[in-house]
Amino acid sequence: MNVNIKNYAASLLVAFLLISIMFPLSITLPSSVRALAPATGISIVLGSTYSVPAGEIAADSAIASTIATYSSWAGYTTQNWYGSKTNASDIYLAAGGDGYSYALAFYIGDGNHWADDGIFNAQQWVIADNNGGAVYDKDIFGYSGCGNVKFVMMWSCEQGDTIGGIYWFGTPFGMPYAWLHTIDLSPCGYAFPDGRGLAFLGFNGSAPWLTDTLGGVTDAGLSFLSNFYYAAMWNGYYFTINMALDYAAQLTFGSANFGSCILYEGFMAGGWPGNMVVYGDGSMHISNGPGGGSGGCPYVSTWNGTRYVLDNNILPAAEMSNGADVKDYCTLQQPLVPTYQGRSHSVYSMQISEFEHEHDYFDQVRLLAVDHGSSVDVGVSPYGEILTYSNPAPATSAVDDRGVDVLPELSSVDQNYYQGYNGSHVTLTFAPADVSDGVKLVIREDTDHYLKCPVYVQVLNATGGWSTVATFQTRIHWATDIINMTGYLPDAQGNFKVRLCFISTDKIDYVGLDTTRQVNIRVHVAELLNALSSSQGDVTRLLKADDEKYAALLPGQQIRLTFKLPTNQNSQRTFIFYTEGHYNTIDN
Amino acid sequence: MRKVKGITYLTVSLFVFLLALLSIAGLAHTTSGSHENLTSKFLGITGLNMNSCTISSFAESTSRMLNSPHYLTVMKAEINGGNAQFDVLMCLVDGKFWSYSLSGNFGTGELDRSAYLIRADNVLKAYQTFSNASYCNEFVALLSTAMQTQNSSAENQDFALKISNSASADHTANITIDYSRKVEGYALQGDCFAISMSKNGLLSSLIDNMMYYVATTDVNVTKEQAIAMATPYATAYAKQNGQTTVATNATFDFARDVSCVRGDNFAIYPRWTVSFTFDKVNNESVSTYAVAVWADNGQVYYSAPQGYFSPSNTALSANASNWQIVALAAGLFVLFPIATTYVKHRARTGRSRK
Repeated sequence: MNVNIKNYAASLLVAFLLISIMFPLSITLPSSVRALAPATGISIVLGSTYSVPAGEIAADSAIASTIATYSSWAGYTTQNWYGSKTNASDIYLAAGGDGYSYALAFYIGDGNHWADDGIFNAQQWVIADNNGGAVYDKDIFGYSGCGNVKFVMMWSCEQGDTIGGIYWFGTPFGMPYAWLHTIDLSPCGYAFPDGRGLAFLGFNGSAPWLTDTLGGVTDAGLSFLSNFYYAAMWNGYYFTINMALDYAAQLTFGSANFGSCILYEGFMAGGWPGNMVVYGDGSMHISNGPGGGSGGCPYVSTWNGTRYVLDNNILPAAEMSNGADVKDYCTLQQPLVPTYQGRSHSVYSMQISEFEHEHDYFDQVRLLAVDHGSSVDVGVSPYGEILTYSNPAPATSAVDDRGVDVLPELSSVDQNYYQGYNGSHVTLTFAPADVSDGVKLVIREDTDHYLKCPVYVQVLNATGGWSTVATFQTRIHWATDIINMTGYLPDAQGNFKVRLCFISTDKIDYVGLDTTRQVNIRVHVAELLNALSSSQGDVTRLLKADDEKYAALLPGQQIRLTFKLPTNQNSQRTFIFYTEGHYNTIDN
Repeated sequence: MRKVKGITYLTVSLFVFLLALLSIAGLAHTTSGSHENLTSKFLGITGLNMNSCTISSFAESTSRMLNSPHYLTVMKAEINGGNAQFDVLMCLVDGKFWSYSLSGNFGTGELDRSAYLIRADNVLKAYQTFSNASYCNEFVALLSTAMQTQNSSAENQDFALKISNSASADHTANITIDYSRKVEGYALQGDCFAISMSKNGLLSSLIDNMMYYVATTDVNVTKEQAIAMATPYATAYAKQNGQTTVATNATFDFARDVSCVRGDNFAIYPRWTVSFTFDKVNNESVSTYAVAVWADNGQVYYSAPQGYFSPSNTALSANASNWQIVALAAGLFVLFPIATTYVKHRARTGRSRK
């Protein structure tokens, strides 16, 4: 008996030693994980094509692009790794948020779970990489300790079976736990959101293909996911996760809400039951997406020190150019912060993206840095003249074509604006001023409309008629334009009258007349270090010169630009982004 | 055989669908003002005391709905007053009221069932005035019937009412009142109108799906014709995957054009759905195939194998990833006799030395 006890004790000792040695390895962060960058806001889209039929791959690929597009729109740095980039190491990278402190992840593909030890029946959950390799929950867990991932959607069988935990022998299990690194999640984050700012959406049991018919709805998953991300990401300022789930259920299944739709209540896919689950906080917003949007056109985003932020649309005149190249000077409104700042030079990063339904062709891009004193502002005219101004005077009267006084809308920068429409015009009268140093019209403008037509700037001619002296294009986000009116004002009648004529829906917030002297400025043309296209790779050479050799951009694609400039030591710096190119609407 | 089938059809339609998703021609970014009064007016029917509450912030945005010719205006208002603090989300489609939801702290108070239903009745009547929706008459009448009979359901020839008392059915609701609609005697999928009341009796959500309209009730395709149209798609797939059809089933309904293949996702058309069951599961885990045919014009608008995201057979199979456990088992298997022998040996020799 004594021997037996000692035998047992010795065996336990051996077992303990083995456990001590081996199990810590399963949650040790592998050395290959890259250092975390101090940045925020990334959305990573993963998807495996392994054992998925071609028609379903088309749907999965489409939803991956859609999510990536919405993520970009919402201001996230976006990685669409659907397909070959969905390998084990990139899935681990995603689990760490790719170094970003706020990360969203989406996965679509095969999933499963099993007990693979053969002894303790310890279940582990797995997803497929693009080659069919199993990527385990316990391995993903090893990379998510940073807690960067806040929201995960896994459209894959069984990944929502359990929140997870740690087995008595130390191995973690469960995909929600693996990605979010906590089990402190509401088990029904839809009906009872826990308010902790973390959420996992997945399936208990089977996950249907996006092209399946569910509850009589064809392509139900595709419709559901598209509408969910449209609400949660594109319109994320308005919709929480729960509200986005409701919205998607309403449009896809005609249900009153997600709680009464077939995905939540349960379905059969391929003869196997399943239902969608929400763990954690369904009351969280996953983006601050403002909704709205416009017709197609490329956008420029700037690196603000933590992430890329949408600045404005570019090449608006290409809407009406019938495929001919146009030139566009865009004064950047958002901060552009160097990604590297040295004593002599700094490096800046920008991104151009196509979100909507255009095929863009860029011939040349340039970044101009204008260093100037803090007492003046700098603008660029539609014709590329870089002009300084300070304290422009508002009009003394502003009357629209119906005789309505619209001066209150146009006399200050306050987003209380006049909205023009096709056929409307506004006549502005300014106080007489000394124009010996030149005269400039400063206009703050914006448009919501997909039809981008120019606004005509007119002055009275010698016969008393109105002559167009300039045009400018409104942009999707508020921007300030400047028009050199030297030689046109005072007009032939000696008046300081300007008429703005509209042929599309445009907003004008402010119009002022500036007669101050042009001050000294220093203009630097940045060196384009590289331009990396998400589809074409390195397109630097194509974008350096006006040579009709184009870098192309399709919906969902981006080009990341890196520029080098002398470091700005003392003065204020205004950036002007110049592009030359055109775009075509992709015909549905 | 027509080319519009299977993968080709799906790929093309999905590409078109994606482009449509991306073609969001919007009207406005976050702005304030234009629908704030409408929101304020609507809140008057929700049970919130708007004399003590104010809208502390308001924002709205309009954009084209995904894959749809319609425009969605989404509005968010924050309501404050006394102890009340709520977020309101309201949606309009083409300027017409569509949905509303209220979130916030609803407190712990609870009403009895009849009190909820009386409040729901008041909401329906107020909504009828708000939206000038004549169909609310029928909803009120059905609710009244249910209240009188103390049943959880009631129906007439056009609508069916269901009252459910489930906290998990809606993230804010304690009781939900759903109306579904019948067309030519067939029940439409989903709800045509639904309201939910929170624990303390506030209107926590309302959705008015009556904007869905029946584009036609003409049925020009018989069941046999629908099966004949659908069969080539399923047969081609089965042949490609070494399967044989063992059962065919066709069902008729009125369906919403969710994928907007006929140009309006709020339109409802008659439809045949034909499903085929194969003799075995193939290596894509597929044993059924579905084809959908519009019953008015005979267009096959959908055909796809029905599957799920789990590997079949040996794919993604267990590969002894828990090697630590296996190693432990192996270690114990080898070391246990050694340890036992060692302990026995120590016990014997150790004692003899002493």
